Amino acid sequence: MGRSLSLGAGVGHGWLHTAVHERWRRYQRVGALVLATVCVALVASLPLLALVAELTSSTVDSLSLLQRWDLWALFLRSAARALLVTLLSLAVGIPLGCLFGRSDLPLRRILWLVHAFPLFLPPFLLALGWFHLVDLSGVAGAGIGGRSLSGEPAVTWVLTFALAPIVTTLTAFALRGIEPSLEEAALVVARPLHVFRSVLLPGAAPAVALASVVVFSLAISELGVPLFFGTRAYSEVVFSRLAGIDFNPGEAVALATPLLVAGLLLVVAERRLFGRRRFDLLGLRESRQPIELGRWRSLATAVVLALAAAGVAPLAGLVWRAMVGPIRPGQKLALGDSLWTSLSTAFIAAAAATAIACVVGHALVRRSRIASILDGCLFLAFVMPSAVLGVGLISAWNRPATQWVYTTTAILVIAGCGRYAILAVRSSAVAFAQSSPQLEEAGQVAGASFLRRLVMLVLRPHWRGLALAFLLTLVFCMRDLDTVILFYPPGAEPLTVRLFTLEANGPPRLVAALALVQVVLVAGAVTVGSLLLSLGARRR
Amino acid sequence: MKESTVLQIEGLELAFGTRAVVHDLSLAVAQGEVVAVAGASGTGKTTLLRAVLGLARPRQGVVRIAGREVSRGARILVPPEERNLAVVFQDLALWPHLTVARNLGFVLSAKGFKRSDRQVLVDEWLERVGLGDRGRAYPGDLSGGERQRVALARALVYEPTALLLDEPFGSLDIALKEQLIGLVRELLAERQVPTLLVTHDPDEAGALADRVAILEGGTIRQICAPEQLTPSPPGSFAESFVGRLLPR
Repeated sequence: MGRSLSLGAGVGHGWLHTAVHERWRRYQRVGALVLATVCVALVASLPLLALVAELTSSTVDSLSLLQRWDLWALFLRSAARALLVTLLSLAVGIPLGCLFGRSDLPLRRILWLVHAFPLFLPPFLLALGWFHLVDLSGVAGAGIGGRSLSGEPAVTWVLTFALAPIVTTLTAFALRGIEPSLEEAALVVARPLHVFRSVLLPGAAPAVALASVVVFSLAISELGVPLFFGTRAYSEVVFSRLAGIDFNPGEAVALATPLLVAGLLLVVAERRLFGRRRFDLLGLRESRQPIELGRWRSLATAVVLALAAAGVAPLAGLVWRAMVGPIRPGQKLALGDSLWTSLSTAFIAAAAATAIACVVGHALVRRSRIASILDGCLFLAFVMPSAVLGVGLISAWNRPATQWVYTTTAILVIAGCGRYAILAVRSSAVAFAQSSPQLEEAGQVAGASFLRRLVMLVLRPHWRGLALAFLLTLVFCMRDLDTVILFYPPGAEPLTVRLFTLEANGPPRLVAALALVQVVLVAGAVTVGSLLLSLGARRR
Repeated sequence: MKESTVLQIEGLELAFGTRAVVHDLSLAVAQGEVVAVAGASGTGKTTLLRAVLGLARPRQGVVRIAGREVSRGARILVPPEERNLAVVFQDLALWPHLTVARNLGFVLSAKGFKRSDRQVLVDEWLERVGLGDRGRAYPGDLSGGERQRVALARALVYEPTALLLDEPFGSLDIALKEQLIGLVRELLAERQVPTLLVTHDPDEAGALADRVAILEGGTIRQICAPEQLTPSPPGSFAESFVGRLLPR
């Protein structure tokens, strides 16, 4: 022990404690937050600020568009559709979330994964799948072709199955996150169903509220599915001013105003409903006794199976169409560079978003006010209808000095990171919140600098959570159509855009085959994600 | 300030949110001395410890470590990582993803020790706390007593200026607690590390502390050797605490 004394006395007061080194150590946390702030400002806040600036300088002619009742009627119609999709998603997602999260339903992990899978695909691709399924199946024999699947009911049907998994998943995670002792204390005096109704469900309510906000925002943003089924959507009006014969960017900016207001209202709703509890609520606990379904087990299993099967049914339509149907000799899969563009830009955007999440997610769970503001900016960019963010990105980056960004795939990276970084931030914050802050404080007291603590004591034990955050962001970047279709660089369209444009006049069999490429890519990412999650659960 | 005083607190005021829990608290811990701050739950003992560590911001008062002012009023002048203190938290806060040896190695590398020196120190300290063969185990694989030993070794391995203990034996059974208290007494006597222990347990305070400070009503009511404490006023924490205090 005498030797340890001499070693301890010698080290720690030499080169390590130079003024520069001390200063660097002290300002690491601030420096990291400043860097994250700059990134968030560039990818998420700048487009929205540019849009507001553009609005304030808009001509009277452009703003007079907002006096047209037909446009307001279309806006209300889109909002009503989004509301209906939200309500239906809640009706499907809450019971499924309860069953997946806390019941003894057989095969619940696999069924949960199958049910959630459509969420990771571009919704218009599901619409395409439904179209082919109806077209090719026996229903067609009864005189009903794929084209008869159209209008509001078809849009609502497809979007409900595409977005209900958000409600399911957040509900299930919230139910798992509820402190076991709360449940156990109630179980001592009440029957399980009563405990479920009075303790568990109220505990999950904020997560359900968040899910509602997210579903509504994605539903009102949706462009591909309404266009596919021949119904009108407000976001289409904005799109047509940027990419159609009605080309008029000034009008697009003015038309984005109602969506901007809707986005702001959604952010206010989220802050009020969820507040500071937004991470602590979503737990990753595993080891607890599931609630027994008893005699309802078979019925519940049948219903869940039916709903999960309905969610992935359109994939069967795509497979079927890819294998059956006319094809001319010489016709080939025309992916071009779109697959590489999709993968590379989504990968870089997800990596950047995860890097931001390391700093912002950590600061959020440590109750940093700056992080809370950054989280708000990113959440705003996420719930803001994609047409608004798209128009904002064009306003911010389509300038002579920034053409090197705007005319290259860099704009796709910025768009993906700006719109979906919140997913990385929130999911990594949920992971970080599972550890006691004292683990980090113990390192701090022992002299570890901020970066050393962040890497060794926060990121390293939560690498699975970070990998999941990365994969989630990657998949959402790859599924995006509504934002990138507004400004993708010429000759560098992502796979979703390629599929959407080919769908209009390409051979159906080839288009279906191309759609399956996207499905396979997403399936790969989702499989890795679910393996990481189950590995993490086993190790915990 | 006495020449041997290492840790000095003057006129400290602490709060939970807007509610003041400690006011005008002054305390000094000399080299080699163990001072226990005893008080009922919710009296601000842990907040006091966190303020000394720099993890909580006081409202008023001064904290000095080895003569250097580390906080004045609400200003943190020296951040926690530069105070060269060590702490054993109530739940120990061992890093679950690092082996026992890496738990010790991490704090040494944070302090700038060379890799070769780190290995020597880790081995020596694990031997010292009776865990020479457990270096490769993870904290989750250890018993409660073994985890306690790792936490102690991790706190003392880098020669801290002072040690702070936050009810470190709260979760142990009586036999194990006595065994570990013996080990802690031995280590503290050997290293002469000034120690501030916060506890509500008379056994811990009586067995380890040279002086005990009774924290009640937000301030220190008595501070003296354990055997000199008076069980008054009636109905107070001091009465029940002193009544259960065991002779050393």
